[in-house]
Amino acid sequence: MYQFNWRPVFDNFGLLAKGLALGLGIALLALAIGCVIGLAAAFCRVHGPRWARFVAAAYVELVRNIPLLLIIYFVYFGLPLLGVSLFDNIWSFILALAVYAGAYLAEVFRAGIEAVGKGQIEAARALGLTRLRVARRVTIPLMFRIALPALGNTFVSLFKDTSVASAIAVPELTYGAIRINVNTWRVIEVYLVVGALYLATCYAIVALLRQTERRLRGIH
Amino acid sequence: MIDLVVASAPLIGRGLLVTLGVSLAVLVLGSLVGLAGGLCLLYGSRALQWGVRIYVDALRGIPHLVLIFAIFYGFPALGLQLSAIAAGIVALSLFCGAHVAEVVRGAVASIPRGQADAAAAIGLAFRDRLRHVILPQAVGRFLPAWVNTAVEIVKSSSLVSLVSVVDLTMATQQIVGRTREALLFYGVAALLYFAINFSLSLMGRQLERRYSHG
Amino acid sequence: MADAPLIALQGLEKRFGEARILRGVDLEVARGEVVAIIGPSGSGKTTLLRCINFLEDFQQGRILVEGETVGYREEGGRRVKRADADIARMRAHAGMVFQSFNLFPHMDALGNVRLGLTEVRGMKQAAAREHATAWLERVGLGGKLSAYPSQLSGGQQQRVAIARAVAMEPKVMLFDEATSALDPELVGEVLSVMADLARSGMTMLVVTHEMRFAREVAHRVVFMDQGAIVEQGPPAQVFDDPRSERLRQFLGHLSARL
Repeated sequence: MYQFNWRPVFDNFGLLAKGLALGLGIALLALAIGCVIGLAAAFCRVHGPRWARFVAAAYVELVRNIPLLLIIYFVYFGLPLLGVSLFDNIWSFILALAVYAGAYLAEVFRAGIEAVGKGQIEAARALGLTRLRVARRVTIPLMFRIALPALGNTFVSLFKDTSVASAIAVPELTYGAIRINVNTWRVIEVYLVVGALYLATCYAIVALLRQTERRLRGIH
Repeated sequence: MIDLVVASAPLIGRGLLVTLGVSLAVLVLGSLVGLAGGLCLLYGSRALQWGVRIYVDALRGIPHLVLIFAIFYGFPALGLQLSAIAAGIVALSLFCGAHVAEVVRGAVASIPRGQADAAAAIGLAFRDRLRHVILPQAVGRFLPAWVNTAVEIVKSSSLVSLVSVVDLTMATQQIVGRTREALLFYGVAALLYFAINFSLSLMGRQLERRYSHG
Repeated sequence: MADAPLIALQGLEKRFGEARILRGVDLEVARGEVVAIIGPSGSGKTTLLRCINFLEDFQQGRILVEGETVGYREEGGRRVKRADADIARMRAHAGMVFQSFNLFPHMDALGNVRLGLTEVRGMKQAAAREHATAWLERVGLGGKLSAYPSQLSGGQQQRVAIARAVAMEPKVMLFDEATSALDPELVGEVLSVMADLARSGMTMLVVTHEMRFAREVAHRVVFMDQGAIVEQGPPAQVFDDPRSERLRQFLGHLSARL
């Protein structure tokens, strides 16, 4: 019979807590950068010239069909081999995750842009706003409102994806589990606790998001 | 450079086969589990619905990698011997099952209530309603989401490389480590993954066209 | 017994949460009778119809179709829900036509009509095809046998739906606002099929807003409001000499709209 011994896990709980916080921070940063990339790609696909539409589509189609791990390895191992060694492991991961997220967000934003009523854009143009102003004051705010639920879900997804960062020794939650396991061999206990931590965090985020959505809808 | 590719082809080829094999195994196992799970969610007893709900919702909150590690390291601790590849397949199949259960439930739930009513009104019993009216219509709604699941599985299969299974990702890493030709071999790997998933999507679109009706 | 009603509703009570959808309804329908059910929306007309073939459950009362209780058996004073196969068997004896047609989109017209014949009546393929073809011709769609629902107009779809129900040779036909979802110019073709059926002696319960149809084809008109039957009688009496205030109001609203 397996003898349960929870002490080693809870002795190292600080490690896990720090890893969890790091994971959330990484996910947030990746989401932010991914939004910039995704917005740019979405605008290119909807309003851009032919070559921009092609590049954006190629980016989206390629990144959405390859594993995150491959992108991580390329950024962390591949770029230095090509002469670009700016990033440590944490920033390599953030960049990789942002590029990964950007492709998915590009589609979300594209749907959002196309969903913003043509009528509202025409009204803005009729008032004399330039294309850029229209984008900034009309399209983007409305589109964010439409895309907000998807953004929230993306954040939860990205948080779960941070577990893959353990492959390049980023000290997030999964890496913490690996380390505790290697040192104490309390396999079942560690993974039960870490699994529970991921679950609890994901559900907390989802609950928070749903509350925020409800409150925003009230303001409408 | 070409001779480099040719020299590495066997290793890449073997890795590709492992990736395809793992993905296929997960898809088959997971779809069977998911079909059963979906039917339970739709038509099962309260207890069964509850149980499957917990399974689906729990798996939704855990990263794939954590479950792979948990099974790979955990089973031996409980005295059950499991190879790395088997651990990966079991873990990913559980995720696939949860996904597919939701897809099945969604597909059937999206069929208008009137269809079941009309089938019942002409006197068809439950099993015949499912067989002749509900499931044929559910297939068309189920396929696109299922193909998406397949694409996600091919991508997730790369995680087995982290328990030392030599799939396409691991093979690529090894080759890049040896030859230092990052752009070339990461490019090849990306192209191969892209080719697999893109063909899956195309097949899916064809299937969807065949099975959707007005 | 020749005099026993084909359908009898006794004290039918249906609640949905706090709301009483049907308040102790009593109704008898004789064999060959055509009964039109009219009333404002929310009066429970559709629910009443759907209880008869047990598409809706009810809390109290009984429904008898040719003496058999619908949905429940009575055992020693208590009611026990019938088995699924039993309920299905009884449903095959009542044909229902829905407001939204509910044709099976993955089968053509012939297939829609044949399904019940082969799977429920147990007919062989050839006999089923013959029978189904005959009924589709009878509703005027002999040339549309291999058309799919998406290729048919609303009126044509509803006529296929009628053929689908009638081909089962039911004891009673239940029409749930069969023309309400149709464009005005398509209503006539469906009503004429329904009138034709009535003339052939089919027992029919027709929930409808088509007052002219009710007056011309029905033997009896039943007026429902808020879950109860308020008034009923021959069409001439109900339409020309309404006794209750609520019926007068209802008819008044209708003529005001014309």
